[in-house]
Parts: sequence; C-alpha cells; structure tokens
Amino acid sequence: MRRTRRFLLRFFIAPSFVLLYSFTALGNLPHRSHSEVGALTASRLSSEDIEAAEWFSRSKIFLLLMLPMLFSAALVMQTMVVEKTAKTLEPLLATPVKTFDLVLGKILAALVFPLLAGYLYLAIYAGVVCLMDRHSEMLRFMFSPRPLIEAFLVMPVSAFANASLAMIVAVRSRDPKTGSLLSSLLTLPGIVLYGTQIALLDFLNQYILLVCVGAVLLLAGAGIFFATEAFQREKVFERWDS
Amino acid sequence: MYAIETTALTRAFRRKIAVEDLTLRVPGSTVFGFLGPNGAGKTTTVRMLAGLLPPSSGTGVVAGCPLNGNLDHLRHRIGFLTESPGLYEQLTAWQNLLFFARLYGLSEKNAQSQVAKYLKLLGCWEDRHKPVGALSKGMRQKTAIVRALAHEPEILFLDEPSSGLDPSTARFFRDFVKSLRANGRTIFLTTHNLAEAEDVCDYIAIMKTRLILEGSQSQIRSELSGNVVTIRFSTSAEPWLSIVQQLEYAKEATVVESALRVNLANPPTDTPRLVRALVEGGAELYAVEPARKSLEEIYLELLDSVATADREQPAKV
Repeated sequence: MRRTRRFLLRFFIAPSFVLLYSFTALGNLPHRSHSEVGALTASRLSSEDIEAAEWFSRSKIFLLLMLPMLFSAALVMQTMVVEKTAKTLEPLLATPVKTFDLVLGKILAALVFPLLAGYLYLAIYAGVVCLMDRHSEMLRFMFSPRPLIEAFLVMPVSAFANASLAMIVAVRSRDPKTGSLLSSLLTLPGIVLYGTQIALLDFLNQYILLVCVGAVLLLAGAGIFFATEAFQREKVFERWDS
Repeated sequence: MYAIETTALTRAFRRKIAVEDLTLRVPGSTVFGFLGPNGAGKTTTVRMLAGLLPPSSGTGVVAGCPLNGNLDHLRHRIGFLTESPGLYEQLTAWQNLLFFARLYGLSEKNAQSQVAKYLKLLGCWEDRHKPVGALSKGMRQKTAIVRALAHEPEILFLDEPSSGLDPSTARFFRDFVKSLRANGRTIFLTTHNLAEAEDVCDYIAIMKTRLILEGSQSQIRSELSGNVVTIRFSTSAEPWLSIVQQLEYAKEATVVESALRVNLANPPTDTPRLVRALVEGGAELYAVEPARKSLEEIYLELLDSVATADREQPAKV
C-alpha cells in the first residue's frame, strides 16, 4: 500500500501538478492582442465587450497571487496536523530549539513549494507568450513595475502573512479535524483579495501596491509574533491535554 | 545533590488535577522507576520534568536547572524518549537522527559521530539508511533511544520504553538501561511493566495522582513484606507445621510447596528460636530467608488500598 502510494506520488501526482500548472498557464494566455481581438470580434461584439475581454486578460496575473497564499496556508496546517497525528511534535518540542525558529522554519518550509510553483507558473506563462505573434505588448505589461511588484513582493509577503495566520489556527485548534476545517476559512481572505484586486484594477498603481505590501508585511509580522506566542511549548500541551 | 528534586509539584488541567503535591528525590546515577496505573499522571509528570508543561504550583530542579528558570538549559541536559517513537517515517533513521542531533546543537561532524556511535551500540547500524516507516517497532524504538542519547544527556526520561516490544528486544532494553546507569547516567523510567521495574530500578515511586510510595526497591520490599520468614526443607514441609503452630511467637504458618511461611512477632529474635525448635524436633533445614513480596504484589496491594480509601472518603466538590 505504502509502495503504491509512493509510486503514485513520484510518478503521477507530482508530474500532474506540473502539467496542471502548465495547462493553467497556457489556458490563461492572451490569444490575441487588444487590436487583434477587436479586429476579429468587431463584427460580433460591442466595444464594451472588447474592453472587458482585455481587462480580463490583464487581470489574470492576479490569479498568481492566490496560489502560493492558499497553498502555503494549507501546507502549514497540514504539517501541524501531521506532526500531531504522527506524534512527532513532542520529541521536537523537547529539543532546545527556539520556538521562534521552529515557527519560522515551518512557515518558510511551507512557502517554498507554493512560491516555486507560482514562479514556475509565471515562467511558463512568459515563455509561451514569447512564442506568440505580437507578444511584445503582453511582455511589456508583464515586466512593468506593477506586475513585478505583485509577483516578487505582494505574492511572497501575502503568502507569508497567510501562512502565519494558518500557524495560529493550527496551534490553537485542539484536534486535527477542527484545524483543517478552520484552515479552509483562510481561503476567504484570498478570495476577498482577488476580488478586490480585480475591482480596483484600474486604480492600482505601484505606489498603492507598495503601501499594500507594507501593510501585509505588518500583518505577517503580527501573525508570526502571535503564532510564536501560541506555539509556546507549554501552551501547546496544556491545550491538547485539557 | 539529587538529579531530580521536586517539592509539592502540582498540575491541573482546568478542574481536573493530573498530578497533586508530588515531592520526589531522585539520586544521581540510578534508575528511578515511576509506576502507576493509566491516567495516574505519569506522562504529565515527565512532561513537567522535561520542561514541556509548566507546573500549576510547586517547584522542581532537574539536572541543576529550576523548572521555572531557563528551560533551554534543561533541554540540553536531558534526553526524552516519548511513549511513541515520534520519528519522521518518510526519512531514514540516519536522516531523522542527524536532524534531531542538529536541533540539540551538535555540529555536523559531531552529530554524525555521535549518531554512528549509538546506532552501532544498539545494533541499528545496518538499517540506518532504511526509511523509519519500514523499520520494525523494536528498531524504531532503538532509533528513538539513539535520538534521546546523541547529545549525551545527564538524565534520560524513558516513557514506557518497552511497551509493545517482543521479549528479546525488551530484555535488550533492560540490559541497555543498566549499562547507561553504569556509565553514571540517571534514568527516570515510567512503566507498567512491573517485572521490568523490579529488574532494573534502584528506586521506585508509585503514584496515582498523588505519590503513594517512594524509596529504594530493597527498602520498600523489606518494609512492605511484613515479618514473614520462609523456611525451606530438604523434604516435605508438611510434618513440621504442627511444631511451628505450637510456638507462641509464630502468629501464622502456612505450607507453600516444600517451605513454611511463618509470620513472626519479631523476626530478629524469633527466627533463631524458630530454627532451634525445628532442628531439635528433627527437621533438616535447607534455607531460611525473609519472605519478600514481589513488586507486583506490593503495587497491587497499594493501589487496592488507595482505591478503598478513595471509596470511603466523601467525594470532593
């Protein structure tokens, strides 16, 4: 059974993830530039529809922000659940490792894969865009300050903040099922963020984004502080044993 | 100087008291057996002593570190084998052990040599590159012991170390614990296995939320065995029972196989008189020894008396 699971993980699930990302990226490609879309559809669509199509195409970059944010929170939750159920947390807490190091280590570990996946998504997206005709307009948009800030500041910082919040939930929950249930609620801020970004697309510029990054960074700092407080060895066992 | 010393250590979880007023003295370089039924508060006590749970009240000093002081110092000085091995099953034994050794502050080189030393000592060297999930329960337990020992702790806490192990591996553990004691380490052993405790422990404490009994094993067994002596005969014991029953200082006598168990009023003065009376009556004695109850008998009697006392006492509101 274990061998089958390992086989599936190694040869099926992990490659499937890569393929899924690739297809998602391909699916999100702008098939035509604004003017081409206009030329192709002018006879059938109104100019408002064409505007909307371009706006939607530009907004797809924001989908990227959500992936690491949601996945890292889920991974933090999962690592805690697994540590509790596999009973590996007690020996870990018996070591002299600092609580802050432990919390930070878990959060950073949970960030690595989702962020790499996010950047892989971005790279595939950019790579395939390069193969398209008249790709310069899209690439210019992708490598302008705002998307770069989103990809390299907003994405990791928001993922970090969400992972910190997930850690608080994970530590405070008394049993794995409750923890998993509560962690699913952490998807809500992600959905709200995504919706807000799309709604504010025309108003967002790099300066507003940088302010947002600062705010999310503060949230992440508060998150890791409270996660460390909640993770105090004595409090963890007090909660579980009560 | 004691390796572990606690005074009125108490731990409550909301309204439930898990450990009450625990005062212990554990001498260094000994094996201290901590016995009690399920739910007696043994694991809670070990967690408090290992710095994983703060006491609700009371004080304690473990390996020279106060329990209300810097617990990082304490964690460097103790090793803790939890009830479940708690190893990462996807990692190999070697990877698990190096990871934990590094958490204990060992350098990469030192971690490798320490882990290798104990893996060889415990006979796990050949299996070091197997994932822990593929190891037998005994091998996992041995791996967990290596984890607890790699940083050379002064005190080793073992929480049910031989639980679920086959007899030969359990025997191996007992011998290993004895060798650790011989090297000057203090071992705090919680167990349900009374034969194991009887075999390896120098000191015993029995608890059920409160401490019921504490002392050296020999002291406990001699004190709680009463004033009974066993007289073994070369032949049957039956013919000599009537002689003993006539002696006024022999309060009670029973035949157990080829021996007589006699309850005396005052064994130091009465035993020579009893032997003389039997020899003069023609008996051929093979051995005379104070009767000692097994640890299991003492444990069960004590818990029974505590249960009776609890039933008679009005319930606390």
